[in-house]
Amino acid sequence: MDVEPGNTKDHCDLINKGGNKVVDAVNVRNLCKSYDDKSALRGFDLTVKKGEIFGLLGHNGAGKTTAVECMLGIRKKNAGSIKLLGLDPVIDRRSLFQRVGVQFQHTGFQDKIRVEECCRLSASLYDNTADWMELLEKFRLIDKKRQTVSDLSGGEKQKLAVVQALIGKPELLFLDELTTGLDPEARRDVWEYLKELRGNGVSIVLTSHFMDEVEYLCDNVVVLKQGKTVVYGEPEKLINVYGKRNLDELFLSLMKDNQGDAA
Amino acid sequence: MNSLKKNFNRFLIMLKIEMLLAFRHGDMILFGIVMPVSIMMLIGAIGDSKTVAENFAGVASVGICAAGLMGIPLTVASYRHEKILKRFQATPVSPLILLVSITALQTLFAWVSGVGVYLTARFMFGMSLEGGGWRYMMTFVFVQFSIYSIGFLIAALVPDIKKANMVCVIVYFPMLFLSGATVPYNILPRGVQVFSDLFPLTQGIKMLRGAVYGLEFDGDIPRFALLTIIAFVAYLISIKTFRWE
Repeated sequence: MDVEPGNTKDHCDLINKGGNKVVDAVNVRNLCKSYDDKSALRGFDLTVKKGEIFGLLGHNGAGKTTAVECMLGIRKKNAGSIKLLGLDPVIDRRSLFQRVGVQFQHTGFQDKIRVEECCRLSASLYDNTADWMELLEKFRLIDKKRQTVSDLSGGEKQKLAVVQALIGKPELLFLDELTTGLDPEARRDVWEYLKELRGNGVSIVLTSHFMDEVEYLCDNVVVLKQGKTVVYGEPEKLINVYGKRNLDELFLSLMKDNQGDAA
Repeated sequence: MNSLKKNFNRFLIMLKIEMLLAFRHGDMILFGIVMPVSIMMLIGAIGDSKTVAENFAGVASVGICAAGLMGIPLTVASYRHEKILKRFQATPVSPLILLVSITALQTLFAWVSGVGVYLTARFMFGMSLEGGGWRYMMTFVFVQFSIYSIGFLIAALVPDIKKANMVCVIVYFPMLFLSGATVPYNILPRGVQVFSDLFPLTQGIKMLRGAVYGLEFDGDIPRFALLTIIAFVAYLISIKTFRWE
C-alpha cells in the first residue's frame, strides 16, 4: 500500500482470493460532527481491515474521542456513514455490540462494586464470553478480585476497563487511551496481549498519546488536527516519507505546521 | 423466548449486584427500613392503638418517600455522572435494563419497609387493616408508582449529581416532615396543612389512610385522579428528556 497523506481510497472493501467480499472491520465515510457552532470532525474517513491495529492520533481536542464515540453510535453524527463489521452502530446496536468491545477514556464503575462483581456483570451482558478469571490472571488482577474497584490504583482500574472490553470475545476492539496510567511493565503486558489478539484476527482501533506505543503496535495510523485528517498510512512509511527519525518527531512536526494537510 | 430468558437472567444478576451495593452503602437500609420501623415502634410506645392506626399510613409511606425521592434520582444521576450508563450503551444490553433493576430494588426496599411497619403495628400494637389487605396493598403500589415518577423526573431533569443532591434534599425533607409521614398531619398548624396538601405524598398518605380505615373510595377519587395525572406527566417528561450521558 502506498503512503499518501490523507488518502484512504485504497483501504476500501477488499476482495479476497476466493472472490468473496471481505467486510471491513470499520468503514467510515465523510463523518462530520459539530458541537453548537464548533466543528469537531470535518469529513473524517477511516477504514480498518480485519486483524489490523489502527491508531487514531492527534493532540487533545483534535476529535479522536468524538470520532470513536460517533463510530460507536454514542454521539449523534451530523453527516456521513459508519459501518462496523458491516453493521450500523445505531440500527444494529444489539447484534453489533455482541462482537465489539469498548474501553472508554474514562471508565466509570459503581461505587463499592468489587472487581469480580464487575466482571460477572459484564459477562452477563454477552452471549459468548471469555473466561474473565483468565483475563484477570493475564492482566495481573486476579489477587484483587475481591477488592472494591475504588481501592484499585489508576493503572489497575485502566486494566480492569480493558478486561471489561475483552469479556465479550470481541472481533473489533476500541481502546481509548488504553495505557494511560499504566507502569512500563503493565504497558508491555498489554501491548503483547493486543498483538496476540491481532494474531487471532481481532481488529483494534486505539487512540494514544504515546508514540512509541503506536509505532510498536499499529499497522496504520491516522493523524487528526482540528477534526481533519492530516496524514494516513503505515507508521514506518510515513516516517520515511516525511524524513523523520520516529513517529514522535513526525507527530510534533505535523502539529506545528500544516505540512501534509489532507486536500 | 430464549432471548427473554437471557434478559431475565441479566436482570437478576444486575438486581443482585445492585442489592449488594445497597447493603454496602447502608443508607437505604437505614432511611428506608430501619427509620420507619423505629418511628412506628416509638409511636406505639408513646401512644395507644388508636394513635398507631392514625399514623400507620404516614409511617408506611416513609419507605416510598426514601426510595422514590432519594434512591431512584440519586442512583440514576450518579450512574450518569460516573458514565456507567454510557458504558452500558456500548454493550449488547440496553442501559434500560440497569434502570429497571434499580427501580426493582427500590421497589423491594419500599415493600420491605411497608411490610416491616405493618408487622410492627399489627403484632406489637394490635392494629388491623379495616379496609382489607388487598385494598391497602393496591393503594400502596399506586402511591409508590406515583411518587417514583417524581424521582424519575428529577433524574431526567437535573444536569449533574450536585444539583441532583440539592433537588432531592429540597423535595425529600419537606415531604418527609410535612406530609404526615413522620410528623402527624393532624397536629400541623392549619397554614402548614394547606401547604402540605400541595405535596403528592400528602394526597397519597390520605389515600392510604382511607384504605387502612376502609373509608368509601369516592372521597379518594380526586386524589386518585391527581396522582394519576402527576405520574403520567412526570413519566412522559422523564422519557422525553432522559439523557444517558
